Amino acid sequence: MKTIALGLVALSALAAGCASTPLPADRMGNAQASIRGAEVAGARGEPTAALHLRLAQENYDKAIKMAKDGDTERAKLVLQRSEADAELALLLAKEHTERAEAQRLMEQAQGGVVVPPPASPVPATPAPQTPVP
Amino acid sequence: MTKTNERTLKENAMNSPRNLWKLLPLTALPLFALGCSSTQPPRELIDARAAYARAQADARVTSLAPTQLHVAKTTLDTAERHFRDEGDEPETRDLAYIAERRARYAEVQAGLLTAQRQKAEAVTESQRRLAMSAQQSQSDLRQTKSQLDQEKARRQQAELRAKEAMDSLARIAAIKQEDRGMVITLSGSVLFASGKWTLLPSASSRLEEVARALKEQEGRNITIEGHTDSVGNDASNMTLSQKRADSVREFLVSRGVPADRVRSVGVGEGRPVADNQSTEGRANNRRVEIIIEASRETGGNQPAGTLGSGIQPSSTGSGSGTTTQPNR
Repeated sequence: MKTIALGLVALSALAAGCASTPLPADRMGNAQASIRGAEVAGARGEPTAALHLRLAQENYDKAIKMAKDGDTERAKLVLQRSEADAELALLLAKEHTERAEAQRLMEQAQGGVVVPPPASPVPATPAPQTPVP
Repeated sequence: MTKTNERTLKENAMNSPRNLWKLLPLTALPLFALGCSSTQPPRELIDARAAYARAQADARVTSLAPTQLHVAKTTLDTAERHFRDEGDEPETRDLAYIAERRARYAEVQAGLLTAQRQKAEAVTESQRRLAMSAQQSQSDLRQTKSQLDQEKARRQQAELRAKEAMDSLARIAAIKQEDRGMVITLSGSVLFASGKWTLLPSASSRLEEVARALKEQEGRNITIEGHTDSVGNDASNMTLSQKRADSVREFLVSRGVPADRVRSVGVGEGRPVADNQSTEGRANNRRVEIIIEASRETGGNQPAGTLGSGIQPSSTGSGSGTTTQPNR
C-alpha cells in the first residue's frame, strides 16, 4: 500500500516536471514589440544599441526554451531581461540619432548661416582730382 | 562485554535515527561555511550597484530622468532583497541584470533629453542669426539705395555743369557734333602768331574757358589736333602743328584738365577745311581742334586709368607724319 502511494506521488511529480506552462502572451508580445521597436529605431546602426538588441533577441529565445522545458518562472525573468535590453537598445538608437542631429544643427547655427559683412560703399565716379586753376 | 562489542554497540547507537541529532553540529558546520561563501554578490549585482551609483551621482540624470532613476532604484532594491533572502541564485542574477539595464536606461534618457534641448537651442540660434542677417540686408539695401540716389543727383549736377560750360564755350568757339565726338575749333590766329607755337597772351582767356568746359567732361578722352594751311613745306607744317597742339595741351593740363586723358596730335596741312588758295580759306585752315570723344561707357563714369589706356588714334589725324605725344 505504502509503495503504491509513493509510486503515485512520483508519477505526478514527473508529470508536473514534463508539462510546459506557456509564458503569458502579453509579456511575450511586449518583449517582441520592444525588439521590433529597437530595430525600427535603427539600433543595428549603432554598435552599443546593436549589442543590446542582440542580447534582447538571445534572452527572448532563451526564455521561450525555458518555458518549453517547464521552467516558466525563470523564463519570465529572462523575458524581462530581453525587454530591458530591447528598451535600452531603442533608447540608445534614438539618443544616437538625436545627438548627431543636435551636433549638425549646432554647427550650422555657428557657421552655416553666414552673416554678411556690412555692404561696401557703391563705387562712385571718381571726381577730378585736379587743382582748381 | 568485550571491547569490540562495546565499539559495535556505540557505532550502532550513533547510526540509529534517535542519535542522529548528536551529529548535527558536525553537519551544520560545513553548511554554515557554504552559507558564508554564498554572501559574495554575483557579478550582475556588482555591475547593477555600480551603474546605479554612477547614474545617481550624475546631476543631469537626477534632474532630467528622475522617474527612470527611481525605476532603477526599485529594481535594484528587489535584486538586493532577493540576494539577501535567497543568495546567489539565477533569479538574483536576472533581477540584478535588469536593474543594471534600468540604471543605464536612466542615463541614456538624460542624454537623449540633453540632445533634444541642444537641438532646440541650435534651431533658436539659427533663427536668431537669420533674423540678424535679414536685418543687416535691409540696412545694406537702404544704405545702397541712399548711395545710389546721391550718385544720381551728383551725376545730374555734373551734366548740368558740363552743359553750362559748353554753352558758355559756344559763345567764343565753334562747336560741332561729329562722329568722332564733339569738336571745338579755335582759330590759329587767335592763339598763335604766324609761324610760332607760343600761345598769345590773348589766347589765355579763351583757353581758360575751354579748360573749364573740358574739366566737366568726366571720363572722356580729349584729343588736341594742330592744323596748318598749305604755306611752307609739309615737314615744317607738321612740326609746327604738333608744337601748337602741344602748347594747347600743356596749357589745358596746367589748368586742371587730367593729363592722362589728353593727347596732342600734329596733322599739318593734311586736312584743310577750306580752300588754301584764298586768304580767308588759309585762315580757316590754320586752327586747333579739340575733340571730346564720346564716352564709351553709359554714363561716362569709367575711371581715368582705364579710359586713358583705351585711346584710339584719330581717324582724321592718322596721315603720314602724324605724331602722338605720350599722354603721361
